[in-house]
Amino acid sequence: MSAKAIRMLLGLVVPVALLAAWWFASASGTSPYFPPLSDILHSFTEVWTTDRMATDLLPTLVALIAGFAVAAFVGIGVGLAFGLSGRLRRDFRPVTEFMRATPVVALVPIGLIVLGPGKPMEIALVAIAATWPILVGTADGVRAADQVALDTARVYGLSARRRLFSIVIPGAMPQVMAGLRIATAAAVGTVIVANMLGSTSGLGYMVVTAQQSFNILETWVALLMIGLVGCALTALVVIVERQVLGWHRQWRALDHSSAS
Amino acid sequence: MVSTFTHPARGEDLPVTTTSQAVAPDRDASPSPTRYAAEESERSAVVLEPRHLRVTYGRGANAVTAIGDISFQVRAGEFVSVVGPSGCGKTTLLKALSGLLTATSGEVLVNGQVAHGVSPGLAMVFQEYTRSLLPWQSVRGNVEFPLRGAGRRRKEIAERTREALEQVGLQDFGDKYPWQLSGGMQQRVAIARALAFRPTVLLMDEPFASLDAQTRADLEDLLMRVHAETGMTIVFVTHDIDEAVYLGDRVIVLSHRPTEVKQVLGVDIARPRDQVRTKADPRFVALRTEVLELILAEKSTQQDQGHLD
Amino acid sequence: MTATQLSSRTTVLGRVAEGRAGRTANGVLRWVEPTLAVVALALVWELASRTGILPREDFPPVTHIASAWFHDIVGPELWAGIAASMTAWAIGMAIVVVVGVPLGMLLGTSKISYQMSYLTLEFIRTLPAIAALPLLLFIYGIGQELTVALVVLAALWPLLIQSMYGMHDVDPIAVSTARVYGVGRTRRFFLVDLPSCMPYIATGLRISGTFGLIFAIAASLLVGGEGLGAAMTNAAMVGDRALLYARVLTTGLLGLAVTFALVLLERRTLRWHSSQRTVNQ
Repeated sequence: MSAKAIRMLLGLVVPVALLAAWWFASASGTSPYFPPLSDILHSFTEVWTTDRMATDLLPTLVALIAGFAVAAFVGIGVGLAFGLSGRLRRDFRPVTEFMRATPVVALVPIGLIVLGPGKPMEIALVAIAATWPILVGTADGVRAADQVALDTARVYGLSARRRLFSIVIPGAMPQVMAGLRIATAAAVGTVIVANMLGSTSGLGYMVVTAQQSFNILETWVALLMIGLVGCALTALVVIVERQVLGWHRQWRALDHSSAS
Repeated sequence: MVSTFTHPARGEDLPVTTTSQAVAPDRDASPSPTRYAAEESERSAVVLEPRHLRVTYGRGANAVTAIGDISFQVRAGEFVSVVGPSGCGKTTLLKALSGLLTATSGEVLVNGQVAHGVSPGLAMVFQEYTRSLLPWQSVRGNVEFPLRGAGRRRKEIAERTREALEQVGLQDFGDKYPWQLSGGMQQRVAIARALAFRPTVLLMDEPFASLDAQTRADLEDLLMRVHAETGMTIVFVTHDIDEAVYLGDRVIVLSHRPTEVKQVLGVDIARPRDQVRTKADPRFVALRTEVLELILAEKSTQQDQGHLD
Repeated sequence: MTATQLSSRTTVLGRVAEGRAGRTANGVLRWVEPTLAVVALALVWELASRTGILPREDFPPVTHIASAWFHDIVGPELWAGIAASMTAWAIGMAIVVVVGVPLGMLLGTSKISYQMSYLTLEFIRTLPAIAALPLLLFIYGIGQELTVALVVLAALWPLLIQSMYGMHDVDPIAVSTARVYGVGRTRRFFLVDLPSCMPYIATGLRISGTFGLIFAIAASLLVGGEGLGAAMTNAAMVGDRALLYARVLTTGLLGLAVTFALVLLERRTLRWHSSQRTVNQ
C-alpha cells in the first residue's frame, strides 16, 4: 500500500474508534444527558425533513452567507487599502486592534437593540464579526509583498497597477485565505449566538427551545446539525484554498522551518 | 573605445558596436541565436553614465553618505565588472543606476539622456533569485512576464521566450515551477527573462553569490556566451575578484564609504575565455592581484579611520 | 532631493526608502495621527447622535457613553462581573494548559500518533463550540462551572494542536546533534524538544486564550449568571443604552488587555525564532 493510503487510514482510525466508543458507551450508559447514539441518529433523520430544513436550516445559512459576503467585500477592500498605505493602517490601528480583540458576542446585545431580532440583525452581526479577520489577513498579505519581486518588476518598467494585480495581490492570497478561514469560524459562531438570542427560527433558536423544553434528543439533533454546518463550511473554504493556493502549499512543503 | 572579441563560431574578430538603442533582431542572420544588428561604422556609444552620483541616507547628525562621488561611462556591448570592499554600497550604486533609488545629487544618463526614475530598456538580475521569480507562475510565465501588457503580439512573446529559454539551456523546463528548480536553474530563469526582454543594459547585483562554486562557474560561462552572442551591455557587481576579472572587459574598483571610483582597469585578456586556461594565464593572475591589493588597501584605511562595519 | 524620494507613491513599494532612510516619526510622535483618527471618529459619532442622523435612542452620544463608563468603573457591579468571567476564564485556561500541552506533546512525539490525530483534531476544531452550551446547561445548570466547561471545550483544541505541531516539528538535526554528543533522552527532552516547542505552545496559548475569553463572556450573555455577559444583558434589559455601550467598551478593553498580555508572552518565547527576526532584505 502506498504511504499516502496508509496515512489516510491511520487518520481515520481515531475518529472511527471514538465514534464506536461513543456508540457503545451511550447505548449502555445511564446518564440522561447522553442518549444512545443510535437514538440520536434515528431522531436526526426524522427531525430534519426537507420542510424542517427549509424553516430552520436555510434561514441560518442565508444569513451566514449574506453576512460573510458583505464581510469579504468590505474586509478585502479596506484590507487592500490598509496594506498599501502604511499611513492609513497606522492611523486606524487602534480601531482594528480593538475590533479584533473584542469578543464578538459583546456586540450581540447592541445588535438586538438597534436592529431588533430577526434576519437583518443576524446578517449585520455576522458581517461585523467576519470583517476583521479578513481585513487583517488581507492587509498583512499585501504588506508582505516581496520587495525583490517588486523591484524587479519596477526595473522592467511595469506600471504600478500591473504590479498591484500581478504581484501584490497573488502574493497576498495565502494570508487572505487564512483570514477567510478564521472569519468562517467567527461567522458560524456569531450567527448561532445571534440566532439563540434574537430569532424565532433557525438553528440557534431550535437548540435553545429544545433545551428549554428539556427535550434532550432534539437538543442533540440540533447540535449535530450545527456541527455539520460548521464542518462543511470550513471544508468548503479549505477546498477553495487548496485550489487557489496549490502553488503555495507545494512551495512551502519545501521549506520546513516555519512555526505557523 | 572599441573592444573586439573573437566570435566563437565564426572565428573572426568583430568590433562590438551597437546602435544606441536595442533594435529588433536581424531575422535573416544565420541560425545562431539572435544578435542585435551591428552598425560597424559607428563607434560604441555611451549607453550608461553616472555623473558625480551621490547618495546620502538620513538627515543631520545621522546622515550616512553611502556613495560619495561616482562617475564612469559604460559603452555599448561592454561587460563592466564592479568590485569593492564589503559594505561599499555596490548594491546602492546599482539601485541608483536602475532608477529604483533617486540620488541625492548627480545624475544618471541612459543613452545620453538624464534619467528620472526608472528608464525603459533596463533589466536587473538580483542575488535573491527565488524572490525575484513569481512562485505562482511557471518558468515560461515568469520569462514572459515583463513582455506582456506592452501590446506585443502573443506570437512574438512566445517566440522570444522560447529563444531565451534555449539560450540558457532551459528549453525543456518551461512548464515547471520555480520551486521545482535548483538555485542555479532559478537564476538562469531570471537571466532568460532579461534576455527575452532585450534590454539596452543588463544590471546584475551579485547574481551568483548565493550559488555553489560549481554552479557559479557554469553560470559565469553561460553569461559570457550570452554576452558574446547578443552583444548586450552588462554591468556586473560582485564581491568575487576572480569573477570580476574573468568576466569583464573592464573592472571598476570602488573605494570604501563614502564610495568613489578608486580605479578602472582594462582586462586585456583575449576572448573567448575559459575557466581553466584563463585563470592560469599570468596576465589574469597579475590583474587579479592588482585588484586584490587595491581592495585590501581600501579595507585597511577603512579600519584605520574606524569606519569598519 | 534625498534618498527617501522614490518614483513610486504607494508605501508598500516605497519600503526600501523607509528601511534605509532611518526611522520615520518616532516614539511619541507615532501615536499622534492614530489618536487623532480615534478622536475624529468619536466626534463624528457625537455629532451624528446629537443631530439625530443616528437615532439618539439607539446610538447615545459619546459623552453619555463616556459618563456612563466612568460611573460604571467605580461601581461594584461591573467589577463583580469582570471578576466572575475572568475567574472562570483563568480556571478554564489552567485546565486547558494542564491537559492540552502534555497531551499535545505526547501525540506529536511519534509520527504514527501524529498521523492518527491531526485530522481528527483539526476536524473537531471546526465544530462551533457554542452549540454545546445547551447540553452543558443540562449537565451543570447556570453558574461558574458551566462557564469553565464551555471555555475548556472551546479553547482546548488550538493549544492541543499547536503543542502537537511543536513536537512534530522539532528539528531532526538538533536531535541528531544531541545524540552524537551522548545526551540522554530525558536531558534531551528538556534541552532540545521542550525549548523547540515553546514558540508553538506560546502561539497556541495566545490563540486559545483569546478564543476562550469569547466563550467566557458568551456563557453569561446567553444564559445569565454573574459574568460580564450578564452585566451587559442587565444594562440592555433596563433600557440603559449608554451603559450597555459602556460595558461593551469595557469588554473590548478587557479583550485588548488579554490579547496584549498573551502576545507579549508569545513574543518573549519567540525572540530567538526566525519568524521574529527583523527582516533584513
